[in-house]
Amino acid sequence: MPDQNGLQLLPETRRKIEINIPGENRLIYAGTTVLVLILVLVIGLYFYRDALRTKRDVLDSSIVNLEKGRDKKVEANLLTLSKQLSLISTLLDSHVIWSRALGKVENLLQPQVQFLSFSAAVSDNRFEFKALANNYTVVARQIAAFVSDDSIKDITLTNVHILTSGKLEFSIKLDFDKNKFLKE
Amino acid sequence: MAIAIILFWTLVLPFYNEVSDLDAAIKERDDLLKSKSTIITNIQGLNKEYQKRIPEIAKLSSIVPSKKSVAEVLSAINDISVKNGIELFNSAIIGQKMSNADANAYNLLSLEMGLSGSYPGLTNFLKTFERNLRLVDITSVDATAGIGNTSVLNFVVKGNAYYLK
Repeated sequence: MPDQNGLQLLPETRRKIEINIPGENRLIYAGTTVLVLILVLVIGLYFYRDALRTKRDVLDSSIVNLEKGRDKKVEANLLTLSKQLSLISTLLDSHVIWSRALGKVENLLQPQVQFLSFSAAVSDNRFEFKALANNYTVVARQIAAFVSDDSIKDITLTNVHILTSGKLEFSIKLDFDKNKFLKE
Repeated sequence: MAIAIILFWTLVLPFYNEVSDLDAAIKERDDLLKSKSTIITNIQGLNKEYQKRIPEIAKLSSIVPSKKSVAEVLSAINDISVKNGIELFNSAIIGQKMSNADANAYNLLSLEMGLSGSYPGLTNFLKTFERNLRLVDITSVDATAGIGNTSVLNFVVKGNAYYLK
């Protein structure tokens, strides 16, 4: 630049002017930090994932080994026993004892009555019989004897007639209380 | 910053999702393993008790066996009739499989026995049956006096034995 009247307006040599503005690189630093953190996180997750995969595989093989170690026969035996135990108590509760029922009928039978046949069934709680008696009084006493027993709920005289021998043939149907007649 | 966001979406999120899935899978397997281990330990304990009590269990199993065991039932009927002095002249043993819809855990084995003998013989026959180890419920008894000889009766006894489904 020429010297104008002894006043030099511009320097003869150029100097680089450096102006430092506070915080101008903050975004770069923050971005780099986040990048580094993400990389660390990725690496951490990578190893953690591998560790989890290994743990899962170990658990899978433990489950498979446990399955292999099962004794199916023992399990079947125990299952059968469990079923039997639960069944037995139910069945024993409903178990009927006919010998006791017949004993009860015997005890109620009048001496002059002679059985010809009988038929008894649990399904309809009935005991039917055909018998011989000397006269109507005996039949009436027989009916009264059955009435006196609380295990017999109802009595039906289904038939009575005189035979040529002079004896009476009669048929009676008893409706009984299953719990009292067949169990007590 | 943009690179960081891209890396987050492309790497961190998939890894995170996979780790979450693995965590859930491990928890599930861990629970399964624990419950299975407990069950197997209990089964082993029960089996030890089972082995100790085999004679009692064998008796118990005879009450309601797991199989029909028709031959054993027929043999028992014959033995009981012989012991009580009555003649077994016919018998039928028919298995009835109950449907799975049925609430009962057993199948029925229907028995029908034709016998002849005295009245005390019949009552003793019934008593022995009632005390038989294999549970039999007599469902019906029909008796008629024999022709000519009224002391000899003909009976038809029907009943049910049980076996597991």
